[in-house]
Amino acid sequence: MGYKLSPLAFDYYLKALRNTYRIFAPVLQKGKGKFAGTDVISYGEINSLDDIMLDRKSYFSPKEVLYPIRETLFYFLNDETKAPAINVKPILILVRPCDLNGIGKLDRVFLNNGQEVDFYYARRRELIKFAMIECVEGFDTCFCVSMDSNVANNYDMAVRFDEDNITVKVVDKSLITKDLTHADTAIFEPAFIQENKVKVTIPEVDLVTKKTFDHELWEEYTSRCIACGRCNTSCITCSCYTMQDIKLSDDKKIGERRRVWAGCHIDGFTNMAGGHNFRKKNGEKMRFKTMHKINDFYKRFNEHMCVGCGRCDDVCPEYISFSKCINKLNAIVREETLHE
Amino acid sequence: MENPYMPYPVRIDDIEIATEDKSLKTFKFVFLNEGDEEKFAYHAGQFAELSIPGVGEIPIGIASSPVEKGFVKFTVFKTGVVTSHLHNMKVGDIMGLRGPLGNWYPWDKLENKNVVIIGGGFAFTTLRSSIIYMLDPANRSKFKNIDVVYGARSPGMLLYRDELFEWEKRNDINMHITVDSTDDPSWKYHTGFVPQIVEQNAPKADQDTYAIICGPPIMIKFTQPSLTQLGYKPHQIIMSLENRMKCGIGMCGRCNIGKELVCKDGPVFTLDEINQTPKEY
Repeated sequence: MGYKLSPLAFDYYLKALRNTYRIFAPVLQKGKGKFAGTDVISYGEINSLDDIMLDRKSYFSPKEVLYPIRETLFYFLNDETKAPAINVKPILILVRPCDLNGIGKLDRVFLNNGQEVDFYYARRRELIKFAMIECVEGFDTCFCVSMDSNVANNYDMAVRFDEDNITVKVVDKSLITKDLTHADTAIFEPAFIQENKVKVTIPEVDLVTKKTFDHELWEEYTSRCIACGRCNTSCITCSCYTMQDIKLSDDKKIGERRRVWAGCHIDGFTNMAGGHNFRKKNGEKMRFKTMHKINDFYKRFNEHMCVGCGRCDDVCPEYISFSKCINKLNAIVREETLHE
Repeated sequence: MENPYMPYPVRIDDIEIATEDKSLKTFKFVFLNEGDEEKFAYHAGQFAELSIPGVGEIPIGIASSPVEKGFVKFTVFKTGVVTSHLHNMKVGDIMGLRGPLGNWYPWDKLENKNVVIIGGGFAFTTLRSSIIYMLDPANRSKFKNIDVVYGARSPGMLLYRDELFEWEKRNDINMHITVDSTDDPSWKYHTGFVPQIVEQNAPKADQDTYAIICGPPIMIKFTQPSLTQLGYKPHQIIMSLENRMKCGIGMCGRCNIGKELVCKDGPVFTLDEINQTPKEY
């Protein structure tokens, strides 16, 4: 069942939902862009329709809503160790299909990768419902269709934003309020993007060999990548983190343990005590990331990790294109296979 | 919901200086809460995160053996922030322990097999755990011949010296203790590097013989050809990897090489398995 709302009626609907939910969507962060006087689009809490930024892709993904950049795991007080409480008000996030699929990959890592469930991720994840933004055009760097992540069906509601009205399909009945039942009904099934400007071909998983590993392709990235890690921090599926302990009192009796996002491109990611470092060159880091996103993750979970949101291409200061890297890799693998 | 990041509280029950240069100490921990020791049930070859509140966590192989009850032991090399802090701690101090983590040496597969243990320097901790486990009266009959090649720079750098010399006297285990060099005239064991002692003393491989090897990368690199010469196939060579780790439970991604998460799928791999991964360890 769908409902058709005027912008004003949609605002009333959001207002009603905000009694129960904190609502997150892509928003314009004034003055927070990478250059002075520029803005950035990232995920933030919204109050009304006007806050939602839809005409450009968000620079950062929605992952920070369910997996904060910095999070306290424990407070230490004398010999006591305690996990902090969190805000348990449910959350509704407006996401595009690629990001919704990307969150599925995070679920794999944190919830379904063995016996242990990540306590901190799980307790936030439970609070979250998804309002999927209908996305039929995408943006210049998107390649979701190639990554098979243009379609998502596990949403709690879907929303189409037109110039004059907003159409809503509600799957989770608890998201229906008076504002909807009083509105016009409409037949609405979200459409999905069918073709991107950018297309990639993933080399067949088993054809990537150690020879591919030693290919000179990766050298190019050694000279180009500056290990800033923007591709990691903007990625919806990058989930690596580091842990830090902090002393909060001189007598060392009070402290905390935090986890903070880490990225395989950032220097120090593989540093070990005693000076070992097993991935030193930036090209090796690029190789690791590429293989992880489109080869190794598949071997573990039978699906690729990358969802083709293209943010890594958008944010790279050195204009490294991940989609181009995938296509180059595919050409190399094909050539290697032909010669065998 | 269980919080897998929550350490068990433990008390330092004993600290022993393990080597003559004092760079290694063996810490004996007892669990503060009843029932935690049972929850910490482990196999030889696993590791744990030693947690010092406000300082950090470190992944360390478990040096005590599953057949030793009432305590757990870790031998720790002083090298980074957390290990340096740990070396300054005192008996009676309270800290945390998280685990056991990772897989273990394939004890089921090793039943009725000859086992050759090869260790170098301070990478002998989980090997000690293994030897104690295999020599336990309840377990010894499960294994055929046991050979141990263990080397260190000098006699004073050998870990667990008392135990080594006691095993040397037994007839159900063949010890090949070696040091790189020594000026001690009373030294009655081998002198020479591990790869060479392996070549001269380790049994030739048949399909019922497996080697477990732990040591510094340089030792491992040069011991592999010795084992190959003795006929060991990559699936008969079992190794334990050490990578950067944070969570120890397959979430943080730090120890990832290829498709393997060293903390969860490892740290124990056969050389066969390691050969499938990029050389990022």
